[in-house]
Amino acid sequence: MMRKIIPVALFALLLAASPAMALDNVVAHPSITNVAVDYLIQVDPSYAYLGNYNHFNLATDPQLTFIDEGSVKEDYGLSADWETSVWGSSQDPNIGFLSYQNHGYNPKTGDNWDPDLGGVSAYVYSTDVWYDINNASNRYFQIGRFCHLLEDMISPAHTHADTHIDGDDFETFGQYNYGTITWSPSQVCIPSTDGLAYDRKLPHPRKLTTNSYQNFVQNVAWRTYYMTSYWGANLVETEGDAQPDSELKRMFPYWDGGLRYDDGGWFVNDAYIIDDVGYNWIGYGIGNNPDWWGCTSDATYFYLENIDGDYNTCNPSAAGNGVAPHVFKADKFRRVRSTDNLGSVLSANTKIFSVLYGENLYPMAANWIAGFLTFAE
Amino acid sequence: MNKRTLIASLIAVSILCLPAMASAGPAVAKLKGPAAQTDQYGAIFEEVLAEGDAAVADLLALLEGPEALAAKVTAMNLLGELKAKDALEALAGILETSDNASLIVNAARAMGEIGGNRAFKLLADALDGANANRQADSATVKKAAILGLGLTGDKKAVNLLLAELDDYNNDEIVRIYAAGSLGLLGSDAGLDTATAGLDSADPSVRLASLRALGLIASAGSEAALDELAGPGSKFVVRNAARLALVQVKAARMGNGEKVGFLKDNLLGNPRASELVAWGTRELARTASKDAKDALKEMAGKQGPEYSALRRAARIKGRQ
Repeated sequence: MMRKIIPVALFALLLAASPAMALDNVVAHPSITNVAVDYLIQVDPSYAYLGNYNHFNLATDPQLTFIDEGSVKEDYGLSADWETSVWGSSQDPNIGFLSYQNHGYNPKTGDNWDPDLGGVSAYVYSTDVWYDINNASNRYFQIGRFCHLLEDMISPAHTHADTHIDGDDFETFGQYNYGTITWSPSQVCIPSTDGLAYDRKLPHPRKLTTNSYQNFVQNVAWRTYYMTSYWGANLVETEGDAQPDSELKRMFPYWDGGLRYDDGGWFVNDAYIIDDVGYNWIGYGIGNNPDWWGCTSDATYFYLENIDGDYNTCNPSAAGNGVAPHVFKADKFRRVRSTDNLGSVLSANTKIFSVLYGENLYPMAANWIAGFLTFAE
Repeated sequence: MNKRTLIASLIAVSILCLPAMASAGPAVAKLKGPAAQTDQYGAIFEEVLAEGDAAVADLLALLEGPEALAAKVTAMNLLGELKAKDALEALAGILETSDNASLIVNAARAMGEIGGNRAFKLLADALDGANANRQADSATVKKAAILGLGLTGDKKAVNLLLAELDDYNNDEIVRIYAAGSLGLLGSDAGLDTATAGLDSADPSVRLASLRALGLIASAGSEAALDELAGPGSKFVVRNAARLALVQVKAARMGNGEKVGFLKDNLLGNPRASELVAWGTRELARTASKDAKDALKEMAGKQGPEYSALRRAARIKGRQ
């Protein structure tokens, strides 16, 4: 029992001290929400009334009624991760204590964060929010909460169930550099027309093309997962330029300090390493702090956590720099497979991961939020 | 009876002869199975250590079983940390007969950590065998044995290592490992070899050179290390250079000053895996009250950024 209580208590204390584990609530969440609402109104003026529920202004608007406000206040915690001078201090009773325990969702495994931390996956939790949308008196605030879930599904850490209590490089990058990313929504996405079609060679499930609130969560999560999982084939414990040709190897070629097996030297155990990113340890040894690792239940695919090339999530990611792979997926949301011609599915790249993610994931969130608004309404 | 069968027999005999086998606890079993929850291995590592010598038989059995490589590597790290002298023969068997580079190097590292005359003898024999063999893969065994010999701290290894350092038939990386292990034994004979490796076109050689220069701990390396520790270097290189600088500076300090210096560096870089592994090991070896207090303080640090350091300090502070 104590094993459960201690992590949860520690988790709460940590979150109180340093809000984390989400896109930031100062810039990214409210901005993406407002961009999506504005876009929907622009392409379909019949939704103009939604303009009464976006761009919350504390001086003139009642609290707990606006969509963008709901997309911020879904992150309820001991210490609210929002500026009370902008959003006020009222909290909606439908939002549970430490609600961000429910914001992780690995679509491949169904996992939420570390089970010791409690909570359910964003996919499961979306049912609660959908209920509140349809039963609470402040419908648009509740819709904003659902927008928050969709926005969290564009965070690679969330869709890899990577418990990032101490922050995440992409999320931190967005907090400080959101305004430097050029992006705009391009379509109103709904499952029936834009959902991932079933493909027996891909791990996503059937029926992602049925219009349902869960399928909005799933379609965003799967795309983010496909974009941020890199095919590395079967890594081998052989030194030198010995790893099999793969997406990961072309992203980080050996000659540039890229993907290779490293024996660890004298004091740590061995690992697969990428000089830009860090260590994917083989087994456990004293001091091991992983920087990238194999995706859970998804053999030969890898998740890169340390995309800014530093231990500290606030520097250099706050400064806007980071790791730029030599190549990246030509179709950003298409999973690279072992049968692919790597030369055609990968394109030369000079952008850092956070920019690649921001340029593609921010508009993807807005597209699906716009679609969700039409579904909910 | 071929060599592989002989080694398997040795392992089996080792297991049968271990008196603690019957009292072994269940912690090692958690390393087994297809789930291979490697993110749980840190906690399991501590559980196994808490069982002490009683876990050695199970760890050896795991090495012989069908378990995943990650589990076997973890088991060998545990045997090294437990100073399990009863495991030496089995580890030597793996070092000499395995065809997997990971098993080979981790076996040698564990043997070096266990230390003692027997470890030295077995590692020296493995080096002899690799030299006699001259097969394509013998460089892997040779490099591992050289690494292990350095870790034993046994000065008898110096002449063996000098011979490897001066043998230009060896791969460059093998000579650099000889340079590093000589550094661990207090010799700077390999300084030029390790320094030259920094200019290699091969990233593995460059990284090995950085590690070796830290062990040689020559003040003359500081300028080159300073440059590589700067923001222009990639993450792994930068951190290896930073560790080497800490090692070079610490080598010039008395125990009292060194403990404070290491503590400051560890608390300032709690996620730096190689620094954490080496720094906590050094504090444990210092064995002064200040060093124990430093480990105790680090073991009690709160916050997710300290998780790797906290666990390392707990493990090393238990001794």
